[in-house]
Amino acid sequence: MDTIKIAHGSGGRESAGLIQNIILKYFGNPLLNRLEDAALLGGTPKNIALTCDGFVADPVFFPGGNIGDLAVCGAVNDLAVRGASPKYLSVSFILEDGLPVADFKKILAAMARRCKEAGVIVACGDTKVVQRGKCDKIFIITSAVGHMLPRANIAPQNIEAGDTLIISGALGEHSLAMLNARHNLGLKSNLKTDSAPLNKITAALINTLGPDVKMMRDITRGGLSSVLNELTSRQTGFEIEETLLPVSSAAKAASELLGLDILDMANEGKFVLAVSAGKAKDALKIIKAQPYGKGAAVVGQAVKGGKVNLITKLGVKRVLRAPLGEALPRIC
Amino acid sequence: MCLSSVGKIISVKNGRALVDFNGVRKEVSAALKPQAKKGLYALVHAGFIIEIMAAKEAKKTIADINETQNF
Amino acid sequence: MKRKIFNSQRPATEAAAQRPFLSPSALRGEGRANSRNLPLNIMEVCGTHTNAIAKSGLKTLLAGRINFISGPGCPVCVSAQSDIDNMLALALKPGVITATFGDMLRVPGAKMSLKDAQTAGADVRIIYSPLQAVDIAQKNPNKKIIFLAVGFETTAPAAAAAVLAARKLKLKNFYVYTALKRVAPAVELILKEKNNIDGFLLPGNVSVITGLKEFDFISEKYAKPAAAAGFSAKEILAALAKLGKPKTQNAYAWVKAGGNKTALRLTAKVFTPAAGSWRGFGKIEQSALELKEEFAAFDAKKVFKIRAQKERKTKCRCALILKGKIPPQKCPYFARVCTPQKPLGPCMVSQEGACAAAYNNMG
Repeated sequence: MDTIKIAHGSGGRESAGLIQNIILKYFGNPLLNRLEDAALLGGTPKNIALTCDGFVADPVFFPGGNIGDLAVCGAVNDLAVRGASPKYLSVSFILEDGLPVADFKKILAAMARRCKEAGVIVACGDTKVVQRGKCDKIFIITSAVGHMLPRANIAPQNIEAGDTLIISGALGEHSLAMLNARHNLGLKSNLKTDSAPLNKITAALINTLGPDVKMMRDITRGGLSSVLNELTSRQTGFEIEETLLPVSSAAKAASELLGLDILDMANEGKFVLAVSAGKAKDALKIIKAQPYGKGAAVVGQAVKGGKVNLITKLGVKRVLRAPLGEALPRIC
Repeated sequence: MCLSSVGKIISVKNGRALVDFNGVRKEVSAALKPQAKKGLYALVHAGFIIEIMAAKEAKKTIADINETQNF
Repeated sequence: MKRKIFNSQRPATEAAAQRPFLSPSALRGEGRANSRNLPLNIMEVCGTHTNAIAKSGLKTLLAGRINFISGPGCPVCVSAQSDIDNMLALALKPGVITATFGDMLRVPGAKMSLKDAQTAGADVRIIYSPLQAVDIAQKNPNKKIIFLAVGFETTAPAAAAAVLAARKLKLKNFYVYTALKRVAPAVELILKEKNNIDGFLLPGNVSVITGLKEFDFISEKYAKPAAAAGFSAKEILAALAKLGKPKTQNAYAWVKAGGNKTALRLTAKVFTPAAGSWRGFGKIEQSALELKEEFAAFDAKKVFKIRAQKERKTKCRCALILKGKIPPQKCPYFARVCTPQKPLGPCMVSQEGACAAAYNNMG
């Protein structure tokens, strides 16, 4: 069997075969192996966190990973930055008739690897197959469940003027790697996706600093400029300094070549943190001690007034707006 | 209207040049600057080298740019 | 504001604070045709400069001393409505692959943009180099590939090289829709009319191609100072510092006397100057580059029998803004009806448009 066929989604023997012979080989665990209609998770209803994410990637395979990495890390990170410890995933596949099984296996392998890394298991799932052309190779929908960490108190309203803003590492790499692949731009570099599970970092922060960790958000679509604009309120805004932003020289060069703004670029393994100023040094130390936080840096602070400002290299303050639409390479 | 980047020419062959932009390499056309050769620096626009400069001079220009430019 | 946690090194700020690049004479307005107090009105011709001046904070830093007026050097912004509508009509034809620079994607036509056309099923592909369009044509022999050539003298040679490459490969499915323009005629038109411009920042990369002679007329015929500039704040400041006596000078390290002769030769081989239709300016003689007769087989306008259209009237006031007559803020639609999400015209769509720059940096 080299390609996925409609029959694999039809619920009969081929579907059973796909699950038993392929999917369970990658995701198998005592809970999933029971193949029940619903997985019994247990735990008290009060402190459960639930999230859902849909994953469509163009291209499906890209430098440093594939859609499977995104599907696990994306959902895990949504729970992580909310202050939860992720535990279970439910995974829904929509497959295109004709998808090579070898590709499907690579994606499953990536998901299995990331689940192990994040300490989560796939508790339940579903697979459907659609006709050629009705979906772009594979769509993955992941829901994830976690338990709130006891000391977590994360909310945008917690942010106060004076809180320090920290970013967990270098910006823009995922987007630039994807755009290069998607539009065949021919850039040769070590730029690759930064897809990574952040729950170990966030747990360390919350368990050590508790409510001093005011707010966290992963920096995905729309980049840091979008996140900061989302988090402003009438009373609180942000000020970041251009010279403090962590950016690799390759990312700088690529964004310049393509005419794109790093601040608008998506990441898949980075988050921004608002922490009490007094605990900023400790927070930075905690993040940097973790493999996915080595490039962390203080970039600015929360301020009074509902605007997001950037202090340029010239020392001038200017407004930072969220980007409009998708980022496209330009020549002007 | 003219986004451009400065990079170091790594090699030139058959009118195609490999240029290194601070760790990111791209193949571009040397059709507009046949004098392009390895070791020189290039000003690149829309996938074409539009001007070249000796390394010493180019490094000074780049330092000037970086003084007030981040990204 | 507690700063201890910041490890901010800002030598650039200290340097800029001392403003070593703005010569006292330029700031006092010495040597200008009409002596007036500050601020000086400096037109930055090039859209990339508009963007750089806003993003770096130079505009704020020099407020009160220099009033930057955005000029017509944004090729997307000055594209005539008829050109945009023609491009859309071509993109929607069955069997066509449209190869375009990303800049054009969201510009609004009569009913839609290229992005909308893409959503509606048109095969629109973003390219970074015109040679990619040739490559797409080679790889898709059963399709018609139309490359939208938009840009000024910097991009024209690249487009010319692509046409020559297509001819060498004997491609029968590669076409160019040209909306290429020359900057100088538009600048001259602005100078011919009544204006209060004290000096010009010249487009750096256009000057690299054409050489500075192209812009000598600014100082020789109209007695205004002009300087070609690079795109970082330091380079722009260096150019501003040269604006004193009415001379056309260079402050961009890449400009060579005589420009890029190969690029000019290739452009002249493939294109010929003709009357151009500019948004806001109407017809300007010798301001557009059209494909020469011998390349008619590659000319989308000829092959697809594009008929000259009457300019559609829209509410958009880009015209006045492109000439530097009013700032974006004085357009009645600015930020109220016309926003980046719902642009009335290209000045708001293009990253380099004066209106987009003003809107995005608005407090």
